[in-house]
Amino acid sequence: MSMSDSHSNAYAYVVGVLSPAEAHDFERHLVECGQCAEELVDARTVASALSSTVATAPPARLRTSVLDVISRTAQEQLAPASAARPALLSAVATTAKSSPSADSNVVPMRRSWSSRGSSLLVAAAVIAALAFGGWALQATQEAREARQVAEAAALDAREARQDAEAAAKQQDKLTNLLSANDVRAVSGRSPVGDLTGTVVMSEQRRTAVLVASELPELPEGRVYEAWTMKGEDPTPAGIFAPDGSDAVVELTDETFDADSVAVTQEPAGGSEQPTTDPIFTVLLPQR
Amino acid sequence: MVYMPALPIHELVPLMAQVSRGDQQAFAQLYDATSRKVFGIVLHVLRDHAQAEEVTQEVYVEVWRLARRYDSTQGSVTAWLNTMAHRRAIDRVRSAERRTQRERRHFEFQTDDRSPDPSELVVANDEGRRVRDALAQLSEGQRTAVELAYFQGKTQREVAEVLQVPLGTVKTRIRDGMQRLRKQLGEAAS
Repeated sequence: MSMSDSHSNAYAYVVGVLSPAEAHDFERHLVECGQCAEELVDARTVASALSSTVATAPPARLRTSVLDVISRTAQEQLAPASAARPALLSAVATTAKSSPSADSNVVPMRRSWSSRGSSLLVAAAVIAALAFGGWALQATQEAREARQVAEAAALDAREARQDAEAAAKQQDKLTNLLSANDVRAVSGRSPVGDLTGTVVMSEQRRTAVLVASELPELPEGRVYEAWTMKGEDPTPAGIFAPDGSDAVVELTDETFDADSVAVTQEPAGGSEQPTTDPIFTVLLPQR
Repeated sequence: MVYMPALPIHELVPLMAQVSRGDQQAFAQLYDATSRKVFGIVLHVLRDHAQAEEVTQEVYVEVWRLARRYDSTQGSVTAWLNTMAHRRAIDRVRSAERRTQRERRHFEFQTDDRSPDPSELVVANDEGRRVRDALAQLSEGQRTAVELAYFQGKTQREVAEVLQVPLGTVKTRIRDGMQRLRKQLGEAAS
């Protein structure tokens, strides 16, 4: 079965009419088709609405039983921050701080602070960290973890496979990004605290990631949202809610048409437009 | 049983974050806010109370165990729960079907006549009503395809046989029907 047969199967997948082979093909297709991934979210939302037509109160004993079982059940600690990540982030943070160009370009954010620090030093350190200590290793580890969990706990095998594939794909993407001839990194740092943000991007590979460290802890119900800015015009570039103070976020394609990347705090689920001031902005190299 | 209004959807995301940090009280709240929908779909697909309770419990234990995997960019908390619940119910129906097809048909006949108890009527909530209205506006072919597949766990082939249409048409009907539902629900909400 070719990929095109899987395309637009999201609804059929969600209602459960695909054969196991078709479902498997669709899951593989999903990893590389953003359109289907979006459609899947829609399909699940509609399916969830359908379920509300048959909502039925379960017996009270079920609640008692469920709460009893979970009180004795360990939670999976799929730690997003593996041992490899801090090394990467501290490398980024250190270089961003010690790089004179990064520092001198940081001005308070309300006066559109940012950095034009396309410092080779930063780029080299980030790339080295990513390539040898960082994300790629973590991706492998996540893939391995996902597989282990599947075997050990016999949890939903489909989900685990998706995780593993997604992690493996993330790794491929990074390897690809870092091997590009035109890979570059730009950093910005907040005037307060140790917060730093670095965008690593390659026009050739159409891939851009944001590495942030020392992010302030999020209040309940808030997330970070990244924006690509064209002049004063923000476009949402993804939301993230890191467990710790560090995050690695893949940015949207819009990054390549943008002037800068900003991060704000938003209500859970993200916003269409920023509702708070950016906690940092990274000016992108001019095209 | 006291009926508690479900929490607004956006409040479930922070609740889910608490659950992922091992907060059992938050989990109980999550259960109270979502269990009618989860139990309802599982019961509707399985048509057997004891099995529905079993599967619902499995779903919630999984939600607890894998709480960290919830990703709000991939949809609402209720959609996440619903996906797990529906999938498990369908898996159960299909494996049961393979084993005791005749028995299940008998069951289906019996449980279909079950009249709802008063607590279930209370649960006939606004969302349910809106969705039923939207369903009623689909073409009959679309509606039947969606209902057979989603609520009864029929395979593509089975749906095609009931509707007397080619296999490929089933997917198209389901897709068209659900997209139309989505559009209507979106309009009704705004």
